[in-house]
Amino acid sequence: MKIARIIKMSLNSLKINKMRTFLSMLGVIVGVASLILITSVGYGAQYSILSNIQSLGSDVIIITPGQKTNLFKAAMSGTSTVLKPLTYEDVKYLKRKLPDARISPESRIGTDVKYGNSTVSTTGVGTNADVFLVSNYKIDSGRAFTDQDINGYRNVCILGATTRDNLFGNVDPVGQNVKINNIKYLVIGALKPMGSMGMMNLDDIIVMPITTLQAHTRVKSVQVIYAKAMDDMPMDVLGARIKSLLLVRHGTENFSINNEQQYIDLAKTVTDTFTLMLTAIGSIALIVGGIGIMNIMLASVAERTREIGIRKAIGARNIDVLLQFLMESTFISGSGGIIGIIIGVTLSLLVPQTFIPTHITSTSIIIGFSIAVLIGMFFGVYPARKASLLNPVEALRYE
Amino acid sequence: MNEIIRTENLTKTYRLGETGVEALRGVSININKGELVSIIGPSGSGKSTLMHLLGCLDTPTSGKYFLEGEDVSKLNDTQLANIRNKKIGFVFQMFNLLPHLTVLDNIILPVVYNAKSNLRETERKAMKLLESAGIERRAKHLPAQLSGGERQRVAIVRALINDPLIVFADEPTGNLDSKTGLEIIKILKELNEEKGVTEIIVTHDPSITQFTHKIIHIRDGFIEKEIENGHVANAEEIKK
Repeated sequence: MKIARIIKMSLNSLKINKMRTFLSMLGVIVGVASLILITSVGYGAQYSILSNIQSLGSDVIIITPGQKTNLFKAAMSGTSTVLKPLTYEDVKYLKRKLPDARISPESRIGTDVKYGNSTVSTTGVGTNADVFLVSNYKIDSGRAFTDQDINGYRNVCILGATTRDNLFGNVDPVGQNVKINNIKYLVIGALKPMGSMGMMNLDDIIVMPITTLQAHTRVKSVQVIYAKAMDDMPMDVLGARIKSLLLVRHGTENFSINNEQQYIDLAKTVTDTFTLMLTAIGSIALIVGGIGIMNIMLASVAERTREIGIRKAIGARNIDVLLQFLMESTFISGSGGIIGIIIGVTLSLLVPQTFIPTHITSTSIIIGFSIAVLIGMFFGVYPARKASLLNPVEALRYE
Repeated sequence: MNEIIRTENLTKTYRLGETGVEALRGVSININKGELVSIIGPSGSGKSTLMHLLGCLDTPTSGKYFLEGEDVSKLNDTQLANIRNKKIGFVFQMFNLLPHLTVLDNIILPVVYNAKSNLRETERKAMKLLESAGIERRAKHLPAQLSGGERQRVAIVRALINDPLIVFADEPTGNLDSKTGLEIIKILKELNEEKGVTEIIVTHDPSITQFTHKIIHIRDGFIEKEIENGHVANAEEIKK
């Protein structure tokens, strides 16, 4: 029999019972849509994390407290169990010993910032003047920190793009005063937008000297130290020197020195695991959808026993009947897959990118569609085989 | 003689749980090309089973069946389907048209299952056959829009579309009133007389047997008697 005829016949049968066809598609639609949505969120997280890590520059060394042999475990357990933290004294010591390197501390604390009558909650970041050389902080207006700002414990701050917009709108913030914990700070500059990393908005910050932050809050330690060689010293040499210097100061290796590549690998591992987990959940929906198709197809075979008998009486071979029913289930799941892809893509485009970044890949669309088609074939085989093996005499007798 | 069908001691036993039901207990018949044969018997006599075996819808439990000299009693499903497709046409009591296909699509369906067919040509042929059956204006209608007599005519046209070696009609008048039933018999009779189509009509209505060359009486799975009809009524006499 001709394939075109089988397709026409299958479509015809599906048209007869549109509601049932749609209902049997529903499981696959939901499954594929959620798969597309999930993978787009997963890839979106990966892309934004990677693009932000990479914007640090690959020649930056990252020093964190605590000895971590396994970055993945470190990320999962957090850094709260550190016995001896890094301090600003460490930073000053390293700067003294390594005058050709740029070394910048970072400490973060949630804080409220008040300007006029408006108050916003944001993240206070304490750092030093070197931050503009080792990070992707770029001055948009005003000026950067000077060593005098840092060493003089000055009450100055630089606003992240989001914080500036939230507090000042279109007004130029430079030269204005804001209040942090009821202490007056002078706004000396604003940063260029940096986007987001995962679900974190990198622009929702207020940057101040680490000295001032430590003096005015309970934060006394340094959470991360970034280091970058300014001369042509190789990164691993700088890393080794920092390690030996800190070993002398701390007496033991209670810190970790990594570079960016290790964080990229870590981010990939974490987001891949995350995506895989969510994909597995989405696949369950697809399998349930497939079982739904099998159910409907079995009912359809029973209902159409007589039709099968007639077709066989006039010369349909078992394989013809098998193909017809297989084509029907594959068509159901394939169309369900296409509708699911459209819904999934639409939804992931509708998600506000500042809230959850999404990234749709052609791979996930192709995989989503292929899985849908395969589900229809796999779960269609049993009903189709059942139909094809019906005895024509008994099938004709069926009322 | 030009022999089309020969069976030797055909038996068919259906299994119903532990016990077997012997529907046929050794049937041997011969049917020649161009013959019009009726198989008659009460319900449960095995006449339908015999038709299913002769129509290659089922295989015998034992015995041999030669169709055009070829032993078809041991063929597999696919081989039987090919024989049904190319050599056999069926007309059923219940018409057995597919309700969602138009009359024309129903008629060409056997050809659809034939890989070497030309569907355009078949459609032309189907229209010609519909015309000679007087229902060409029904070609695009669905079976439900047709009367019983019209549906049976469509079924007859479908049975003829592949130029079969033999046409089986299983109680073709069973679902029709007597006038329409006679019209259907007339069509079958004319096909036999004018085109020489070999036909086997299974019936429990004795009045139909007067038009057939050979009358096979079946009872309890045996051939009770086989009568060569010396005075075959022709198609012209049917209208009277």
